[in-house]
Amino acid sequence: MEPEQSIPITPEAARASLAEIDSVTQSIRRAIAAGITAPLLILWGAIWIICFTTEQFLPHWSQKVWLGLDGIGIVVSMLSGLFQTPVKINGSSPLLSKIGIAWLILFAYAALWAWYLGPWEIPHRADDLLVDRKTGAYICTICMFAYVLMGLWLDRILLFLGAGVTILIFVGYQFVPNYFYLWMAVAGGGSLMFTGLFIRKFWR
Amino acid sequence: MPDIDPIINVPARLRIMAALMALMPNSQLDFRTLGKSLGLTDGNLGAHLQTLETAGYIKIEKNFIERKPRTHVAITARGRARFEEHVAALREICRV
Repeated sequence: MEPEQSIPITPEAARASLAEIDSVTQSIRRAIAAGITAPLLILWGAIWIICFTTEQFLPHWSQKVWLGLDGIGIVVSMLSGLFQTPVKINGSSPLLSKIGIAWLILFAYAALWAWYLGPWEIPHRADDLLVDRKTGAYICTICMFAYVLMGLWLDRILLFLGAGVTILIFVGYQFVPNYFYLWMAVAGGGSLMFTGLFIRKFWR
Repeated sequence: MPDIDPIINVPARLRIMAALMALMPNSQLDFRTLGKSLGLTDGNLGAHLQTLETAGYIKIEKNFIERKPRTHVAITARGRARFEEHVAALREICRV
């Protein structure tokens, strides 16, 4: 252990201590984000890349690939939330009520968005729903809105990621309809993965 | 005028307290993440944590996750109040 050396309290030392507090606050928040967020962004980026590429080039396989990889993604995300997180939250944390409010806002956004995009055609088969471009774009924008909400409370990088990918989804939907899924694989999945790798490398 | 806290007024402990204050209330931080983020060795971090725990500023909880021992550290209400007072004192000195 380093020797017990109290900081002499001059105005300069006080200013240095306050700057140190700000620096530690930022680095600890980033370390937490790197521990929780980066692996999940990399995982979901990979899932988007594989699933959307399959949907573009092998549409008859897409349903099985989506269901399988989404299932794996959800299980891994839940397990990492339970076992890998560097932060443990007790029952009465205000963060839990914030998460509850975030879910309510997310559902409201999903409902309003669905109403705005309507009318929706009722699919005849499950495959019709999964390969529908509008449904794909809708589901992905909901996921990105969740990132925007997390960004408001956790770290601004998630807010910019969510907003940026939402814009990319709109661009792909409007301007590259024939290669929309390939666009989603590269722009959507690639953005998630790149952000995850960036956080992992620079925020540790 | 708020007081400078002699326990917090040591570089490593100031940084530990600042790190724990960055968490939401009722949250605990993993020992390993804390040490890595602050660049402190396990022994050094452990010794400072013990001093802070004895003062009642932090709470240390040891448990098993996936059969592996994990240590989590949280700031107490007393620690939070003392840290806020310490920061107020530092701001006061800056104004002098």
